This record gives sequence, structure tokens and C-alpha cells, in this order.
Amino acid sequence: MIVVRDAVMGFDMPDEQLSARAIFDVTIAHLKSDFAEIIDSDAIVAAS
Amino acid sequence: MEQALVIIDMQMLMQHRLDAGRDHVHGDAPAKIAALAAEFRRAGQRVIHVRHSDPDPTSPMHLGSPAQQVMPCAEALDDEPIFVKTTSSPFASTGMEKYLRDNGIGTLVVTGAVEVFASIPQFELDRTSALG
Repeated sequence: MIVVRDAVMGFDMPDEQLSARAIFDVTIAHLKSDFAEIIDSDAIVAAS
Repeated sequence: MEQALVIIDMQMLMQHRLDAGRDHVHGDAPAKIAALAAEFRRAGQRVIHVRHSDPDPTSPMHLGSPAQQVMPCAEALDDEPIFVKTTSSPFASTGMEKYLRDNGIGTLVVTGAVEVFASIPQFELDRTSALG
């Protein structure tokens, strides 16, 4: 699986006092370490 | 094996959150997704749509509700598959796994919206077990 980092949006969890950035960064780190290749959309456009 | 672009949960609930000023990352993701979809279509590659629907009629994501409608960036063309899930993972509640197998799609290029360990991580966990 390839995740296009800058084409993924995320939000905060105010009830848990978690920022959107914190949630997003942990999610991407989890995916990167175990499952996915993480790229930005420019890489796809440049490759096409 | 083919690759396909997957657009997950880009529904008006997300736009409503942006409009309300909720803390977010990648507010420009809708434009990037639209550009990627155009690029995949131009290259003759598939674009797959995954949308969420809550069976609870009181939920803002109930099928047909304003928040459940698709964002303009994620509108599907007539020949593109749309999988409407009622769980966090499309593999648990749609026919997407069969579609991927039937069409020889081995690489998913994932875009969309993520909430903690919801759609995207579960997407891959399920895919790993389902497709091997």
C-alpha cells in the first residue's frame, strides 16, 4: 500500500485533547513502520 | 498487477469540519486528491471510491444526510466503483476485496480522510489478511 501523505487530511480529537498533527503523525508513523510506503503527491505526478 | 487510486471518506462531514475551523492537517488535500484522480484517469488507471454510511438514522453520516454526501473533489465518474462501508474498513462491509481480486489490483494508492487508527490503518490490516 502506498499512502499519499499530503492527500490525506486529518482532524483533532478535542475530547481527548489530541491535536490533528499529533494524531496524523502517529498514524503515518505506524503505517510507515509496518505496512505502507509514504510518499507525497508530487512524486506521483513527477513519475507520470 | 495493477495499481489503483483509492479515495476514502471524502464526504461533506470533512468539509463541514473545515468550515467550522476545526484543527486539521492538509486542508489542501481535496485539491491534491482531485489532481491525483485526474492523473490516474489520464493514465488509464482505476480510481476507487470508498464512502462511509452509518445505519443509525440519527447519525450525521446516515445515508443521504447532508454530511454523508461526497465532496466535489471525490466525485466518481460513471464507470468508477463506489463502495459504501458501514464499518471503519471497507473490507468488512463491502465487496471491495472481490473487486480488487477480480481486477488484478495489487497496489493501492491511498488518499482521503483519517481519524486516528480508523480507515487507513484498518484498510491495510484487512487487506494484508484478505489478499495475502
